[in-house]
Amino acid sequence: MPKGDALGGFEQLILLALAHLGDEAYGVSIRKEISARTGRDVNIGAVYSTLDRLESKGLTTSKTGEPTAERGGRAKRFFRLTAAGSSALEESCRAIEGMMKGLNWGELA
Amino acid sequence: MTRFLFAVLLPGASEHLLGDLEEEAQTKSKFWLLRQVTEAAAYNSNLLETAAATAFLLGLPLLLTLELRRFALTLIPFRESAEFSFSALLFTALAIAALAAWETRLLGGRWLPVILATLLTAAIAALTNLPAILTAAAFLGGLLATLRRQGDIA
Repeated sequence: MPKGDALGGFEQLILLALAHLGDEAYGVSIRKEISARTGRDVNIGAVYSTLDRLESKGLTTSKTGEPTAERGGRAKRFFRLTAAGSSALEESCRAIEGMMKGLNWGELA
Repeated sequence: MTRFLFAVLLPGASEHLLGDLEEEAQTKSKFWLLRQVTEAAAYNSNLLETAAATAFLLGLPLLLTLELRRFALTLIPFRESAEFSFSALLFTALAIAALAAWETRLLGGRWLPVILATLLTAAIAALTNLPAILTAAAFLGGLLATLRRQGDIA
């Protein structure tokens, strides 16, 4: 991956959520997945602006689902990792794992 | 309430984003929804447009209410006072109705925010006497923002 295309922290969280959710990844489920796993109350606007950026980088794809009544007749937009997205996520996670090796959390503060 | 919030704070937002917010609004508090919508407006980078569109919704009827009322009062002969006149009231009501219809068209047929804004504006106009220059500036800013959002100007 070129230097300028390195994943940001929030991009990494979004891609990890997509990996966990599989075919059920849309705005609400992604937001909830991140909130449940990180304890952060993530904004849906932040999720969508990041998803749009990831899609423009070719790391995700999306398709529109069927409209539902509980959403006021509006459709969901489902997201999936592309092969490039999967590789970028793996590379990014390995980099973090590498950086974490040998750290002793108790001695950091 | 939710539809009004979306129309005013998230004009032009995608249907997926609005659908997600509507879905979550059923299980979350109104305060949570307001915070999410406000932050989403910031992430959509349309806060300025939102402010201008809100000013437009409020400012246009306010401007016309004040100015047309003033104009209408000058047309009435032998008036003792400019406090109230039935014809001025009728003229203003017709002007507001015409403007509301025009605003509704500009906003893509979304009539609810226009009606609410018009009612609010009528209340403000009845209780205050703001300088017309402020409402004129709000009108121009809001109009430009609306036209820009619609893609009519760059």
